[in-house]
Amino acid sequence: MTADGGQADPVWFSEQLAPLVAASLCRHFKRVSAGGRGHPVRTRHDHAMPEKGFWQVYAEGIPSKYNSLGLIIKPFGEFCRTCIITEEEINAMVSTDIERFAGQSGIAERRGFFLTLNYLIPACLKEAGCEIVGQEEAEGVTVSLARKIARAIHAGYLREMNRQSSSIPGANAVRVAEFDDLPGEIRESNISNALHIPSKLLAIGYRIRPVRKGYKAKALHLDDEEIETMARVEHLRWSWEKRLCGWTYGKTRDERHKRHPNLVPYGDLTDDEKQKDRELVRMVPGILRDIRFEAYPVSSGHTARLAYALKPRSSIQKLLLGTNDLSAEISLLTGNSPSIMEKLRSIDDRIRLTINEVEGSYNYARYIQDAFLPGDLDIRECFTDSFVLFEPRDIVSGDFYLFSRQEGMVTFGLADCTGHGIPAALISTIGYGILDQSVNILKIDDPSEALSNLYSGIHRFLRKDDRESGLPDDMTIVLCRFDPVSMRLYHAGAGNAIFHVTDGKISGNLSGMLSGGQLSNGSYGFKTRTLQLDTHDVLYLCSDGFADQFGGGNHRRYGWNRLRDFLLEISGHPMAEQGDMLYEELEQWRGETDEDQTDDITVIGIRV
Amino acid sequence: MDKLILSPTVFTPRVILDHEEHYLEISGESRPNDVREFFGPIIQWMNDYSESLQRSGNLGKPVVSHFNFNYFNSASAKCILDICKILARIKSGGTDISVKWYYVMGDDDMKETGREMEMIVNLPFELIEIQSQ
Repeated sequence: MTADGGQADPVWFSEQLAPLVAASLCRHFKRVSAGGRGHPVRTRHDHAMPEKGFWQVYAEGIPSKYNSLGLIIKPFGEFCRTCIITEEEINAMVSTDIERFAGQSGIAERRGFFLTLNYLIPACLKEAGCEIVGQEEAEGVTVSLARKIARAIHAGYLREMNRQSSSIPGANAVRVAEFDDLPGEIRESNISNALHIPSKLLAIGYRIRPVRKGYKAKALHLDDEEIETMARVEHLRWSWEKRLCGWTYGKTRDERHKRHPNLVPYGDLTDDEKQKDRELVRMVPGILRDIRFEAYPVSSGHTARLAYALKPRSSIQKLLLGTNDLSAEISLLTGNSPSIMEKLRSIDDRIRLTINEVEGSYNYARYIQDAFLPGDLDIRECFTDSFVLFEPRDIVSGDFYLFSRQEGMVTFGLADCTGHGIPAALISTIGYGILDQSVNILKIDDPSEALSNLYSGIHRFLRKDDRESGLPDDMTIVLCRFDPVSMRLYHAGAGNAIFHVTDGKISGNLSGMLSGGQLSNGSYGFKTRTLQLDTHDVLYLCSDGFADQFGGGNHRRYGWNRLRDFLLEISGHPMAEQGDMLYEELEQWRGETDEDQTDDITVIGIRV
Repeated sequence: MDKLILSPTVFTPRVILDHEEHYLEISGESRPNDVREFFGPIIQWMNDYSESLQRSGNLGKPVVSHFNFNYFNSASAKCILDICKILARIKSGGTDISVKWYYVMGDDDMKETGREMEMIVNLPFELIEIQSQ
């Protein structure tokens, strides 16, 4: 019925499921329009019924619409997970619908009509036996774990009730049922809440795991911004839980017709209501403690496709830290004079505007970089068991990597352009272009020859020979070609590290940061070396960013030796997990002093 | 020609280039956003110094240069290499040069980089282990 990991099969969906969903959509739509209050945003003629064939066609389009947002539709077992779909995602799907039905007069312009439908779809999928989960959400969170969390939440609630009743003299102890005695609906609601604690934590860049035996759990401290993000997710969760049970928006609460005034975006809630969500979220660290779980940080790659995730503060945004405090100080010093405060506000606004402008162009540069760098799928086609930890220092990266498969051979490599930020990213764009051409178009097989071609190309581009205007910039690199049949690895490089783990031992080149290359006679001294690999051997390619990271509580470099030892230590784990472990190690090293990232960081791990 | 003396910042090292005492020192951390802006004047000074030594002939005592980094990025590495190349040129011009390359105990990477520089420019480095910066 489903293919790996539970993604609904399109044929199965359109044959088995679409008719059910179509019928249920049509029915719910009638119900909602009869009540006259589907969603606060609406226009007068939104609820005229479309033609008969429409519903089936519309239902068939649901999976592709969801997939494009990274949402997976899959059959549920004993329990339907509450989906978390943001208002922005709903709006995106409405736009898709409008485009899709553009030819059909009378439907396409009805934005409110599609808005109502998109808010109804998840409940209809639930009726047909399907739940909706985000890609990263689905990982590692099971219903049995949720049950455990739900019990802990309930136990905490009981404790709180008892404490309150005993602190009020003369009050009778409140009788609250034990978890197993709760009515089914409330128990489900508790489990639904518990299931999303991991989602809320993922929204701020954490996953959870059991505390290892004999270890002390890491404490989780949430700042205001994190609490706000999690509260937003909590409200989304609550809203969808209601909608999945058939509730819609109504000006006043109406149990019989299932209307609720709080079925609005988080931003439109009263502060009292927001406060309730925040209180729920503040309980999370305590709940984790109760069930002996801890939160650990995950790289931004895991949250990139989560629409509701908090974007990590960029190095550019960090420049703004403290400006508000300064403004507050100045206005205090000047006796809060209104005219000065007014001026300060206008300065703050201008700084923010400027930073946003700069960051916007960085962000778009990152899109461009993401577009040419190999995607997860390309990499997995070359090596199924692998990871890429890619952490730019300033949004864009001077590191770049290549994965390419031709005639049974795999070529892959990692380069680190001098500097960081926009200048390095510009060089990396040229570098990737020339390397791609050498490998994929000129089909230069020998890594050292491909590198000579790359370096002569880049030096020509940057007019290195011209002392006046020429630039000495280039890159450090390691380039490999792997023959899966003979298990031979041919590699050449300058400056970047390649480590090889075999038989419990790690070996590798620890060459420093001097990019090699041009000899005094103008030729390039690259040499291709051959390495015989065994099945299950592990290779790591690293730019110098990880080893150069300052931290350790005392502004120390992490260092190559430490990195080599750490890689050996984790090399037995599945590769994807190793990527997460490296990120956690990095975060730990940066530590409580919160050292800035020194340089762009890339580590590639491959099990052959 | 003037002495070139720069105070250290978070991103740039301390620089003391003294042509009267024949004392050269670069120490601290080097990761400027614009390496050209920072190292340009240093390279220029080194070239001028090299030329003035050509004219003045034998000094009777060696030029002493100290490299005492706890970190430099790859862009800085190229500039430091350029400085070392100028030192090698001064040496081949007949002036006695001593290069002292410091590394904090346990920082094998900095030690290794010194050794690598030494090989590339073909100028003997004295590698000196120190307790801390």
